[in-house]
Amino acid sequence: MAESLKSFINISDLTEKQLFDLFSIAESMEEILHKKEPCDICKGKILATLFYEPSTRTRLSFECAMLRLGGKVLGFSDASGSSVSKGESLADTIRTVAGYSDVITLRHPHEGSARVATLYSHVPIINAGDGGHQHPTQCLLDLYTILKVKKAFSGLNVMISGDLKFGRTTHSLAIALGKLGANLYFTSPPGLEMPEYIVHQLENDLHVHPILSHDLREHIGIADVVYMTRVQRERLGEMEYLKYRGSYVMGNDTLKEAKSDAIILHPLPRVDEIRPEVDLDPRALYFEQAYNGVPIRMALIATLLEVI
Amino acid sequence: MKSMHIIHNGTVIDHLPPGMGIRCFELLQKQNIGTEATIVFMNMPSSKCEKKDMVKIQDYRLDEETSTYLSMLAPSITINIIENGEIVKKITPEIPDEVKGIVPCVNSRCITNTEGYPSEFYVTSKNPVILKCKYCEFEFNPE
Repeated sequence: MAESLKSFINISDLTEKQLFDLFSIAESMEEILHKKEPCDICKGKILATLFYEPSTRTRLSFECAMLRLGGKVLGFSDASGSSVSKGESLADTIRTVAGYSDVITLRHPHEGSARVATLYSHVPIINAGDGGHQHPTQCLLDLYTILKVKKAFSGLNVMISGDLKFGRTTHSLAIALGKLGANLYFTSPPGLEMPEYIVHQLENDLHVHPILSHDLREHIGIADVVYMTRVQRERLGEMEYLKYRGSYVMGNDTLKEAKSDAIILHPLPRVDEIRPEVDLDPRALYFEQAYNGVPIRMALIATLLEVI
Repeated sequence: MKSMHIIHNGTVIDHLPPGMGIRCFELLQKQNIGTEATIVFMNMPSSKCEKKDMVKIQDYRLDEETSTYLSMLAPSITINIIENGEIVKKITPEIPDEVKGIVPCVNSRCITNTEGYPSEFYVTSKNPVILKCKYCEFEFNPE
């Protein structure tokens, strides 16, 4: 990479060249994965995974990525088992763990926490989700999945649906796709619309004008990519969650209206927004998407550690 | 120099939009003024705009940080420093491109509202003032 990447906090931290370099490295990582042979690209390196919030795919795919690269992992997946439960600050935890590892992956409930972590670390920080703000590595694997199937981003009609207010994956994705020339359609229940700062950034900085809707079926017929998300129960009160639960459900009846070559993505976990019947449709690519988290995270780790 | 009849030494915050005088006084009380004699003028006629508010504080010199803070709330203000009944300094505060620590981020979910991390903002618009948090990227008008 021409410009070195110190940490990865926000999808906007990457230039277009850096982004496509990562995709290219991820392709070569897929070859390593397919061969299933030992790899020592990250031999002697340690990845710390500090997960203050629950995670299945993100944490395990980071750990899998580092292990496949020949490195080692340490960390916690439940802050209650660490000194955080004794009141240790994020800054102190980061300072400490930076001494034990070569790169830190952080998931934290507060927005902006990963950016703060960079102030206290001499090793690279990877944002694995900071509250309802951003989830940039999910964005990388979303983009990588789209590129593998659609071969380009420019001119694609991408419909992003669900809880766009708290669904942090949608924030990173919208900005990235806007930069890459896709046409954006935001579909959400009233009250869970895309945050204004994201819409402003798209309109004012990127001159992209997303089309907003409250109806899942309104734009599904022209979408090349349908990106579904769940309602973020953990960021809503229970009454509010019950109000929104089940407001958007993709079943075979809805899918009938989609293009024959559209792809259906979801960052997972899903709750009830995609019925299991859809899993059998060849357009449903969310499990392939989850798999793609490994090669793209291998590419990111190797790039940040400057071992490739 | 124009003579000031009300205070002989202190600060005059002029050209506040109508309604901002009391707000400005309350904010200054929270910030740092204590027992200094203060007069708040409201809805005064103005040559620049139809009406204005004004705050005069005896024996008090506004610091740069507070000037910046007030200019973000009311970009039109001018600040006069009075010594011995004369205006010795007239300040039209400039809104900076970035601000640190003056106001908290209004996003309650922002990391800067926990554990005492200092707030920092980009000023993305100067009139009206819009601040964007450097950490959580939440945008808001500090008024």
